[in-house]
Amino acid sequence: MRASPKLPVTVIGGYLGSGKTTLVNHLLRNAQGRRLAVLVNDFGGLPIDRDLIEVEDEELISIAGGCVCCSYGSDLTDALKRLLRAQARPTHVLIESSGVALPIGVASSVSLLQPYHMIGVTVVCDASAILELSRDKYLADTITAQLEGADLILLNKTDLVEPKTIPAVVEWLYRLAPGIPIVPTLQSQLPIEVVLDINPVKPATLPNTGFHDTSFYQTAHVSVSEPVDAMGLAGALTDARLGVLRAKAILRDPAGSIVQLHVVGRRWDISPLRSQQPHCGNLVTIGIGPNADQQHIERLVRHYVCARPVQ
Amino acid sequence: MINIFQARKIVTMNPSNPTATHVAVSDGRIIGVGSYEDLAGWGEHTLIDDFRDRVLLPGFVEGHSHATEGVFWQFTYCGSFARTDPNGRLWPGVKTARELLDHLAQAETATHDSVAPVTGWGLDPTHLGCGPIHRSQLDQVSRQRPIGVMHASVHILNVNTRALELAGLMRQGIDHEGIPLDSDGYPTGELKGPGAYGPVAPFVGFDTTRQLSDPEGLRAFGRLCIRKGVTTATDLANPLPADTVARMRDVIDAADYPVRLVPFCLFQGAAASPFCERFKGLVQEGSERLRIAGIKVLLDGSIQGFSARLRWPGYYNGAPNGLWYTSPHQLKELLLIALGEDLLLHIHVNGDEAIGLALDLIEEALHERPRRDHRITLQHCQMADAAQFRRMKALGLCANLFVNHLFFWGDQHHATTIGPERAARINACATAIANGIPLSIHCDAPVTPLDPLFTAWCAVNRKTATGRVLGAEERLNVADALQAVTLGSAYTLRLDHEIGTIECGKRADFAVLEDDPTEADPARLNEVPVWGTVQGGRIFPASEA
Repeated sequence: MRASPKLPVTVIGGYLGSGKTTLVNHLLRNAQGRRLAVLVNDFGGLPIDRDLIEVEDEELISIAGGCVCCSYGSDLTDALKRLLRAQARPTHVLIESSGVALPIGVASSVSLLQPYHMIGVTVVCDASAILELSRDKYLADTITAQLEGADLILLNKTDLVEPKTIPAVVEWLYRLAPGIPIVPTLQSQLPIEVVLDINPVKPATLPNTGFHDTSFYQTAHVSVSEPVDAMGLAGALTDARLGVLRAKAILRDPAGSIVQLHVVGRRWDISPLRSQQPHCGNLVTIGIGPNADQQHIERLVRHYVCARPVQ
Repeated sequence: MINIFQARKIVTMNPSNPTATHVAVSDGRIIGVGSYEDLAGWGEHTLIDDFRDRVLLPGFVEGHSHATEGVFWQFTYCGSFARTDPNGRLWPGVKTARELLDHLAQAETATHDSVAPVTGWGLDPTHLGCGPIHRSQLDQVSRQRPIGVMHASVHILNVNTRALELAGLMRQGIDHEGIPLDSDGYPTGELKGPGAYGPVAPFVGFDTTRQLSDPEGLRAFGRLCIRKGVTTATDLANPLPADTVARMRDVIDAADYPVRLVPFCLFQGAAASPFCERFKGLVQEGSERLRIAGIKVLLDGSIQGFSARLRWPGYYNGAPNGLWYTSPHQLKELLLIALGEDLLLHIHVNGDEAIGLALDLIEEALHERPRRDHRITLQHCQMADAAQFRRMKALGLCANLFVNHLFFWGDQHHATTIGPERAARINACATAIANGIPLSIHCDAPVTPLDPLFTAWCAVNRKTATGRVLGAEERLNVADALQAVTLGSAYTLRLDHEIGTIECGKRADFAVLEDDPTEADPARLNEVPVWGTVQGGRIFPASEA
């Protein structure tokens, strides 16, 4: 019996009003054939834009393109199990955690479930509200713990603050959560591959988000036929100075096994794959900043190529 | 048709007519209370003298319980204190780890299906004089079938190796705050918090969705109520998913169901407005005996689980502060709708920081949507200090204090969680009364046993399990404690016009006792025997429950 491949899961966290729901809708709108399953804490607040909804009942919203949205209430484990019994199996699961939940806690609970594969925690924060929230008498520690547990931070609503105050917000975030990439966004718009799965053989096509020009994001694609020290490479790719937000690779390791490498911000994960992978020896990345370009990434990969493959 | 019940004494809890010997009942309601001569004037009647040697009190009203206690008795009781099951059998409790394992082994032998789980509940290792239970200990009971034992707090689950294997957790490399590992990297079998035990719970017999409306569980809960003199009980945190109310009504509307059940719909999500719309629909689905009364919302966790939100200086043992379960902005939104539409809201708060946040939000919401007599109730409200009680009074709040904690966790609160000073004013009943706050006290079954006379005893004596008196100044007198488990809790449910005292016009709900608790030694208030109940005029002897 062949086990079905594990379902990738992304947790989206952040306080109320930060733009989590906007991000989810952006991802659904640009799913490009992916069948996304969205789990929200409660159904009530219309988590999905009206025009995307095909059918809606008390338990489930069906969305254009084979995507679905359901609520998980107090039992996330049960909701994830029910998802596995769905007629059309989703290709990616997004969990929108509640405003005061610690997304990292949700992620570690998901990691206990064998059929799922936790790939990253994205925390959205409202650039115009985060500094005030960080001083709130009741919420300060919760807000900071949410950010500290992120793999990737979206600094959203950057249009609502004076441009000259953004550096202060960014500096505060850097101090609070060193090593976690910060992506400035407007209305949670970003290349969906930063959050979702990414095709390992083809660089992401970067849409013009209307906020950044297309040159804001850097993509790279490297082919490598030799075995690679995947763990070393993973460590290097998650170094925030490089500016890589998302990477995926299918590589042969020095022991001869084929492994899959996922990077989301500062989180990496290496898992073994069955042999006979058509895309073995490929890495793609999306990043921001001058160091995440094709040339730098290529050089980096060469550095982790193992000179003498083990036969 | 009028039945006149004769009793040795009727303690009415109605100050204008405090005691009587007879109560006349027609159509499930009280038509009169007084002497036989007073009541005979109502006309043709039958005299029922079964209670001529017994004492009637208003039927007890449990203001914070969960009907899942009835389901839990389908499993093996593993608590350390003696507890009576729905059929009246007294389980002595397990005092050592060895006794726990022997007890589970007996349950294992009695389970015929060779792959069925052995399921236990009510465990508290702090009372067993041992450290955390390890899966290897439960493996001694069985290595073949899954075993799971839920803690009394309902926050931790101990499982054996087989249960971990079935859930795919018997492996190395697990990185989860709630899952401690052995030095070899495998889980110890202790799973802390729903996030950690969620994947395993179904394999060891805990199926939470089914448990919300399990018919056998509801019937068992009804039998427990009869044994303890309870005629109205809350089911205080039921999410009431589709069809739950209909399934509950199938059981509860039956002619022989002995309790008025009062579910509160659990708010656990994002948007208050559609939730409240759904809630208003649910209210219409109820019946005389199944009252969908209000909305429950959780703001923080528990003190003994270190998930309650505490103000400075925090936990006595230095544990980090607890967790918020609902965003302040969501609670504010919910408060505004509840006040605007006159929906009853009960808020779970344990730590003093959570109490402070609730008070701030209620104050803001009342400023925007003033309403008198809203009966917003702070549930548990364990760590409230005098200043917070004064604010509660100013805002018109009710308190339902978790006094059973004094006995079951009082020693831990003193030594570990919040330290001697704050432990001495935990569940500060006397301060609440002194400030004129409508007061209820509760058990939170299945967390602690459903037994209002025991709950009243806790408030009167404030004794811990080891016999320490925790804050003598906060003790209640017997009359106030009895009021808190009758009219006091009825008031928080907006049912005080119907139940909570024995007087003309109210439901004929009585606790039938063998002795008079108002005359009993206050130190032995919990030992007053319960004969059974009368609910809606129907007689329910405990001996036949």
